[in-house]
Amino acid sequence: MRSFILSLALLLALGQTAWAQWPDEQDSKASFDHSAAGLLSLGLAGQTASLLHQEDYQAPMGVGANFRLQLHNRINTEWALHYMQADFGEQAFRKDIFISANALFYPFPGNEDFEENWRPFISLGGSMNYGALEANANPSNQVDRWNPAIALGLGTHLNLTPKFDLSFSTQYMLEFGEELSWQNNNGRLLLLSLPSEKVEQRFLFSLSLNYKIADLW
Amino acid sequence: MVNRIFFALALLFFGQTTFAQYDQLEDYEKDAPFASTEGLLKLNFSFASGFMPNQIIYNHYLQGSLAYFPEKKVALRADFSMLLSSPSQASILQQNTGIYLGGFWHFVDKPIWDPYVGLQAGLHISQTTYEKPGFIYAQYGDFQVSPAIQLQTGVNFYISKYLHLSAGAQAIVAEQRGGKVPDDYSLTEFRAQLGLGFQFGLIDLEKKKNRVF
Repeated sequence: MRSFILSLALLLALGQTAWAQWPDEQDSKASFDHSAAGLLSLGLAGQTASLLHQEDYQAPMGVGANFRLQLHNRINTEWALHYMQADFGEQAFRKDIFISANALFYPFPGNEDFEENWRPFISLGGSMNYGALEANANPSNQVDRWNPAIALGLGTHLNLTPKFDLSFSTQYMLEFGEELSWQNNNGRLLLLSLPSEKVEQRFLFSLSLNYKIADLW
Repeated sequence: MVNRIFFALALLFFGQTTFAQYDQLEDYEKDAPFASTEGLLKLNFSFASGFMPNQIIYNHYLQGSLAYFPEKKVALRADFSMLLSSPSQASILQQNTGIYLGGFWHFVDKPIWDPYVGLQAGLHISQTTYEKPGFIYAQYGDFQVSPAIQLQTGVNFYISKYLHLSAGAQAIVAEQRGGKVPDDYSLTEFRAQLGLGFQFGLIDLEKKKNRVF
């Protein structure tokens, strides 16, 4: 709780500093006209996914936090941490944590100042994925593993103001390494993490709210 | 002050009529208790009652929120809610605490009435009871952490420069998995809330206007 309050205070303090650099929209526009590089934003996201070729995996729900650091008028980077939960068969559930880094490329020129509403992007990135299975009725019965993954996606920002945006994105993710599964062995639930030749494929759907808090350079 | 609060509550129910007396938005804004929402810091406490459609149970909550407007009409807001009671007979819910962060859009810059919508992501920490063979009383399951999404809408009514009333509705989507409950336990809920809050401006708008960079 204490760290939560500290984080919130930090957010407010950072917001204040950033705001001091952009006294009003006119000034922020002037700043963007020169270059959007250096813009730093913080965001929160909701996520769901569809895991292909895995019937046990039900539609999950996840939440996450991210920050974006823009490197160029047409190139942004997004660093994120997401946590998801999903049903996995009738007696277990699956937890996933994604630690990801993505490059966002804006294919269309213009709207560098984020004054217009829509700004589509293509994303490409990688992540380290933590996955765990846990029995519903017996939390000590669980198995977990870490896997690397890559993802390619499409999305768009909906700029509510030049500093505040709602972003939608869909990513196609390929995950390599061990596969999680379960077996029923004479009434006993066995949770397994086994090496697999199959690549785990999933679609990730995200909705995030982001606010630009500073122009770093 | 009591009269003012009664008046405010009456306005909450007959807000539409109140708006009708202003022909222009500018006239309405002249009566606003502060120059702009920009730079405002708001603290609000509310009481909420909720209905979980998948469980068909009612719950009561104490809620709090802290919002900051980094620019006019946009608020960054942290919310907290704590279960006070779950009086329905069928309820096995023992704890249901939520923490959320997100962004809000406020439709008026210099409001007396301040309608808003917001979207938040967060976590629920919940605990339910379960039946254990051989035991007469229900057993307490483990605390579980679940991701949650919350959509909020409502209206604030600014009584003075420092005080406001709030009324709103919330839709929360969350699901408890595990925690020794054999099946999932949906925490999806619709809530209605009434609250009271304080606000103060953190930014001197006049100084800001004159700042040269």
